[in-house]
Amino acid sequence: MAEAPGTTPDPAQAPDPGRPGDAPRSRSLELALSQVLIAGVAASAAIIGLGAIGLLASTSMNMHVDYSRFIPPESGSQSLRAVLHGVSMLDARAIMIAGVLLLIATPIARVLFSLVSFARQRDMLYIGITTIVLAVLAYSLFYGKV
Amino acid sequence: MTILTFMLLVFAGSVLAGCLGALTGLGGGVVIIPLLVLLFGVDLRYAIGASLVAVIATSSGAAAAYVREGYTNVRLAMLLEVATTIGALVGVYIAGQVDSLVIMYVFIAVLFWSAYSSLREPKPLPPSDAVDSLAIRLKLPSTYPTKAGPMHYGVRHIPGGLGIMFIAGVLSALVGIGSGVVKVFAMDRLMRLPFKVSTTTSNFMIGVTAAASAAVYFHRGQLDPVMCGPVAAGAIVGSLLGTRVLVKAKTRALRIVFACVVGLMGVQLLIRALTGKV
Repeated sequence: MAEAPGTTPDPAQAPDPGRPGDAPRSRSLELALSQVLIAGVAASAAIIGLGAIGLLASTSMNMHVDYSRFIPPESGSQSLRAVLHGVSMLDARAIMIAGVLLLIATPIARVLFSLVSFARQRDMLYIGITTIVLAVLAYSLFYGKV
Repeated sequence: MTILTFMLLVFAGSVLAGCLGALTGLGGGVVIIPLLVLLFGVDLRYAIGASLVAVIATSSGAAAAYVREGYTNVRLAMLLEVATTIGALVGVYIAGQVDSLVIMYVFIAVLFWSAYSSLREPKPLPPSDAVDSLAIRLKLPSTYPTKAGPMHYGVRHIPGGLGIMFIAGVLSALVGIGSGVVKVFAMDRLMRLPFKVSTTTSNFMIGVTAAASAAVYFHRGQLDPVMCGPVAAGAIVGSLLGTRVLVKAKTRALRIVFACVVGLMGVQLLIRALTGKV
């Protein structure tokens, strides 16, 4: 764990722009991932905002909410199909949940995007690692029956 | 509480949580859950669902800025995400088996750890100069921007790092948080990455880790639109504010405030748990 004395670099040393073993940092990948994330959160916030306005416009302002007790959902109501059906009926709650699901999908889209990028770089090692992460995420979606 | 008041207050609280989460790199979950449980009397199961959503929002919003600046180690994040997502699957399974009270105690422990770790000045360990052949084979050593130009760093102890990341994934899914405190601990202390690389890479990974369990929580009915909507939108706005506007703010003072707030919430939740009001 401890390094031999004398090998500890001085923090004030001149910048060290890299070593032969360093992985190439892909600026284009970094910028693309940044754009995927921004697009995902912006679209999600906009859809949730629309749904919230619709909800407040269609319910009585005096309606009280109570979340002090967890109420298990009706079976079948918590599926992607039910949400999409609700959205097609312009149901405000379904639109809000669609926005939330889009937000959950954003990091998954980021992983998918990385896979494309590693494939372009023909980086077999990271194509494999990214595929494992995607498989685990896919299993969770299947297990969650979205 | 009327629906309008509830949504506005939850939105405002989530802006604050997203802001603090992005700024400290510890995720917004440690603020959202106590806020919902203590202030709004929300059942822990709804609070955990909403918190996971906040965590994904904070991570994605803040990561967009940090990745662009070139601090995040994208390859390292992908490698460690293998461990965090598998951990998350295990965690969400455990969450379905154990009592809420157990989850609450685990959460309280994480709160106190978060408060402690944000108080502690991040004293940088000297960057590791030892050559780790596994890290080089995995193409992990890289450079990060400093005022003086790009700076090289190495990566150490990858198997140990993967192990701690698995635990971080279990915790994240079990109590609905980002587990940023655990991830930063592993990268900063064990894997010997520069602090800024640790916090931004941790933040980057949090979204994928949380997404791995969010789908299951959705299916279990723990994502309520009236609660998760304002939480998500608020945390998105907060994380963007946290990375853009507050980037030059005095983080030392903020960390102390964060530690006090989180510590106080931990004490209150502990009292509730001990008196059986969960």
